[in-house]
Amino acid sequence: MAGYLNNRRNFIKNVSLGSAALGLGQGLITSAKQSEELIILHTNDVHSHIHAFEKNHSRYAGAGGAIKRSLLIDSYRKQYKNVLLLDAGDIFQGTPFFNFYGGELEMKLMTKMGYDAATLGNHDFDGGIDGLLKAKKYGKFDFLNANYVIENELKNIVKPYKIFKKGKIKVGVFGIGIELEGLVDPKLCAGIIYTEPISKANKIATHLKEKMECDYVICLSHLGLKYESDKVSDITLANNSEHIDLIIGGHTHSFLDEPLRLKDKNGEETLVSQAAWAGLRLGIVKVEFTKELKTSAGITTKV
Amino acid sequence: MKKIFRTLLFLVITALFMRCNTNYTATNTAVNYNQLDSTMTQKSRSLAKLISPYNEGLEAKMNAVINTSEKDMLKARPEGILSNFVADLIFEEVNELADFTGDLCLLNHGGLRSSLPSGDITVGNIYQLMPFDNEAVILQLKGEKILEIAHYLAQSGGEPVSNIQLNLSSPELILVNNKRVNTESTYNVITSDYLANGGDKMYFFTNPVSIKKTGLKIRDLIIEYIQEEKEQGRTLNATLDGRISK
Repeated sequence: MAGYLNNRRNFIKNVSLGSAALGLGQGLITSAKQSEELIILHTNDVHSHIHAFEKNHSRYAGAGGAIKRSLLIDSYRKQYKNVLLLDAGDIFQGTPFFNFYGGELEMKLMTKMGYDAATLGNHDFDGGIDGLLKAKKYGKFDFLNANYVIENELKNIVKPYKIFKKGKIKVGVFGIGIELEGLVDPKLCAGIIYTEPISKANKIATHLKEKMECDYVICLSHLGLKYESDKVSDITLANNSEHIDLIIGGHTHSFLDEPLRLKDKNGEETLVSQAAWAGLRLGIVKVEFTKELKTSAGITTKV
Repeated sequence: MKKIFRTLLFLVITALFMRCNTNYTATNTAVNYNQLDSTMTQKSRSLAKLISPYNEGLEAKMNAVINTSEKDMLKARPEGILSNFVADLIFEEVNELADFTGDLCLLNHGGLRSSLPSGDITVGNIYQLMPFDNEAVILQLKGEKILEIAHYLAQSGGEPVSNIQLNLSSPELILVNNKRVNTESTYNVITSDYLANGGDKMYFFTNPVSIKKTGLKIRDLIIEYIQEEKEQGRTLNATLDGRISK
């Protein structure tokens, strides 16, 4: 800790000297401000719920709906500078809007709301690969998945990860999908090969943190929060992961009172969050960042 | 002069180097969940405008009342009123329409996505109950596979079934058509293409003796059955009958 403070003090001294002497503006002077804030908004398992639930619904009367979600998202965008909007899959299937229009409206609405990325849930294959490609034409955001080997045209619209620069923060986001066997009719997901998610997630997260120098790494997962069996879940992923700061989950339609704060395999904290289903909730993760020196070694480079 | 220049250069390089080596660390994370409940009543004209062309037509179609139910129908294990209702009507409809005799019907608990209310039943209710575009298929299976089905049911605690009798504690005594299963015989099982293709890990459906597609969507069959009942002057009044017991 003392080392950290010393480094920080030296850093501030050096920077102010350098800036003062040369009148350098960009980046160096602004580093006097040492903190930044990021808001991550998230949904999962919206399942084509465009409208709010009916007024006579036994449990969710009048709740949910794209309009409420959109207004809420807008209010966060007004209030905060750095907002990231993400979805953890199962965008499709659950109302006639999907049966009749194949997901077109869901894609248009998510584009309008400004979604930055989504991962693929098992039900996103319900219209087949062709159906997904057709709907995606109306979606101007990326689908992220790192553990499906894709041997069809879907590979043109799915990326393993994406890096977002939000203010001064570099955020790496990647996607992890569930085993499709037993969940999706094989003819609807032909050419999608599921591979073991944990080692893949660690590989990508390490790449994002170390090589790409991301300040924060988010895994969009459709594995499901937890199971009684030994099926891989967000909890097992978190416990066996490294370099993942936040797992935004789905599939199990979990209503959480608060996120799970778990320890990864290096003892670092990994958060696991999930926002119910059907657009009943919007998850809001507020992360405060502080600028810190990684190392001061090498400063004595001779000129 | 040279010295000053060197010092300045040193400072610039140092500063740049430092800059490359700095990063932001997450120091505090707060999470909460905004409930999108009925108290939020603001409108969004631009979104409403985007939705409305899709909504037109769909709403009228979905709001059409096709019959009345005498009671709330819920799915349940080992058996439920809704589970029995759907499995029985699929069994009946496929036997009638597919020009084929099925011995039993097996669907999946997870595939019934919503309950049905008492009172008016709309087309929209049936889309909520069965949003999937699954098709009814008939699989010819060997008797031993029927025993596997019984064990699967014992494991899962029950699924929507028709024309079987089963006590979950003694699955090998399962009755089909009121008779014990003969492992030398074959049986025609009515199910969905989703399950026939290994959905819900019903692996006894893989490699059947034969498979017949009906071209009939499960959801369409449910809607048609309910409409036919109405035409016959009957409301919906399914019951429990102990077909699966613990």
